[in-house]
Amino acid sequence: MTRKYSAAIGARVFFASFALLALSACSGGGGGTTAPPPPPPPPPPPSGPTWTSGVYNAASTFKDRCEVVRVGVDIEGNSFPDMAGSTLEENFWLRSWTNETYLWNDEVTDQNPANFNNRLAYFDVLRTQEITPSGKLKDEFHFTQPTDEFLEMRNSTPSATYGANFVAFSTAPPRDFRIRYTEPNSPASTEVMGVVNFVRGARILEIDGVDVINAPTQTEVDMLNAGLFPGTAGETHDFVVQDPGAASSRMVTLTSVDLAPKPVNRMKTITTATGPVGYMLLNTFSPFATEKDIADAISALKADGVNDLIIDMRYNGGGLLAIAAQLGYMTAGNARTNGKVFEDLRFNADAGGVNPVTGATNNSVPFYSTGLGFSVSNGTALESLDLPRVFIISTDRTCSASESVVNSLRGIDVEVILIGSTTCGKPFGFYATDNCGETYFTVQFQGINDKGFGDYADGFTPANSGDAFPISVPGCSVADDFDNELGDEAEAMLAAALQFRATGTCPAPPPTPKPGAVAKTAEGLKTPIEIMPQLDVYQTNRDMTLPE
Amino acid sequence: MQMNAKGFALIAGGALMASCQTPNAPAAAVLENADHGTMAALHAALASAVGRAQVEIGPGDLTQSSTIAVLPPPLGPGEDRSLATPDYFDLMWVDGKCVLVAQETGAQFALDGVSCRKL
Repeated sequence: MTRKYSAAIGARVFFASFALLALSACSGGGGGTTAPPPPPPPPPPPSGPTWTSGVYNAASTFKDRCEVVRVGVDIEGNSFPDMAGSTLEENFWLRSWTNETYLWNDEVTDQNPANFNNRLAYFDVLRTQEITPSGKLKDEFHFTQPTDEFLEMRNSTPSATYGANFVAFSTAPPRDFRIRYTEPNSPASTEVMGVVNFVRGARILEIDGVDVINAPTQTEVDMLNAGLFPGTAGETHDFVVQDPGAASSRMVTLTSVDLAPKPVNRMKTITTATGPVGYMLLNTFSPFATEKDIADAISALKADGVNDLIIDMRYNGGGLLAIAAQLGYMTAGNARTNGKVFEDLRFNADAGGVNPVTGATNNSVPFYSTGLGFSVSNGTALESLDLPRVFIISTDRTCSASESVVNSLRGIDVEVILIGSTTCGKPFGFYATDNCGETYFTVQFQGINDKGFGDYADGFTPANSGDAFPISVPGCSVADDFDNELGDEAEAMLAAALQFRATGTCPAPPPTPKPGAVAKTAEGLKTPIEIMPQLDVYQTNRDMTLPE
Repeated sequence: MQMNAKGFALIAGGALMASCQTPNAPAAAVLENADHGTMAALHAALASAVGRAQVEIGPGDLTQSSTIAVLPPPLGPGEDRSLATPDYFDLMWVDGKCVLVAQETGAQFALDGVSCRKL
């Protein structure tokens, strides 16, 4: 836009100068009659599209018309579709694309794209400014990412890691970095002399001789980051850690490996007086391997004859909705799901019965009862536990597709008992869309269960949490417990689920949160600082770096 | 009664046609073998069919099963409620050749360098 505008101005100046020159040449003649001044030149044609409030051309007319044209292929080998264009045309694409696909397109103020010389600044205004009943923004999920970074990240696993997932309770001195959980069969979970290298909740005191808690210099911080987040497989680093409840520290030496995270991190069958109970720690729905992991876990639990299921999704940020729908089927079984909808998709009112992004018919997501071919052969019958209820362990990191499991099972009258804290509140989804090197995420649909309910933008919360705005679900408010391993029956959330199952009661609730706040602190610890919550989806840990 | 007779005639005709399929009638097919060259050619054809430079396919023995699941691109950061599912193709024997048929659209794609057999 800027470049074209300048060119137009230049042409106009040149044209005016030429006319003046011609005029002076004529007037230099033999002193005869003075010629009348020529009419002013017509204005140059406008460069690029022009804005008329409320009138939208098809987004396709502006797609891939770029201020900066990429040439060649991306890291996946696909040719860039870019054509020469301008920031103005990119903005017009954003405007029309928003009008066509944004869920709340009727709540967006139409602003002239020409008034923005930065596409990201313009994208930022293309959203609703409404708020939820709790006072938070209705649309908290409006963001972009450079496409090259987006592609790099989605192609990044397996990556160099110890198989440890860290949580930072404080990234500034005095720093507090701990082990959140470890991957099975990883360096972090390996036993040496009868002791597991990294146990949940262990505090990292030193890395390669550098004091994690107080190191003040950038050089030392760089060393800490290099130790926490190995760049390649085969790097060896020394850690001094202090286990939960331990009076002394110990040294751990780890060598990084290339490892993809396991979606079902662990599972077990718990023996109780009233029959076996299944437990599974399900950390993501993103990798294609999730389909097989869940199917295998359910088969094993079925073989054990479990009569209840506890799905631990406290760190599950979501992923593939189809696999969440399979989990719904495998939990509830055919009789409860047959003919029912896992999730209907609500697009903007202008879309009618069409998915405005794909142009296809807006079909419901069913409770899939067979493999879909992600990692279980297409058409393979899935086993099911046929349960009338399910316990789900949650925190504010339980998000999106994970929340759809809660909502969709409630939609077919499966009793959901929620143990933990309020979920993140994201009943919305989008199609990541590239234009001219930037990948845009704008909310395009809302998930609705079989009863037509999908309004949980403030999340789901256990009934005794004291939170007024989220959707109240039977269960217990319990803080995350970093003193016990996940899957340990003494771990506070799992223990609460078992207690509720046995007696219908909850443990004493954690300290009452401030009004509107979410109970998400671990007892005795400061509120966790989540630098990159999506890391749990990809497990790269690479961006949870220490600040300068 | 008349309707029943007509219906019977249609069914009988259909059954006759089914029993007299010509060698050129479309039929489900599977790969003769799944060696490196065959799979490379299959991947190339599938990539072309879905408009991507490269594709991965889901699990399954294509010397036994005619259905192919082409995996979507892996999820990127922020894609926490993705509607992505595989694209499905069938190996078919059509007019003496092995072709890919997209389940969703019925579009056919040639398979060069791939040997099939009818199921």
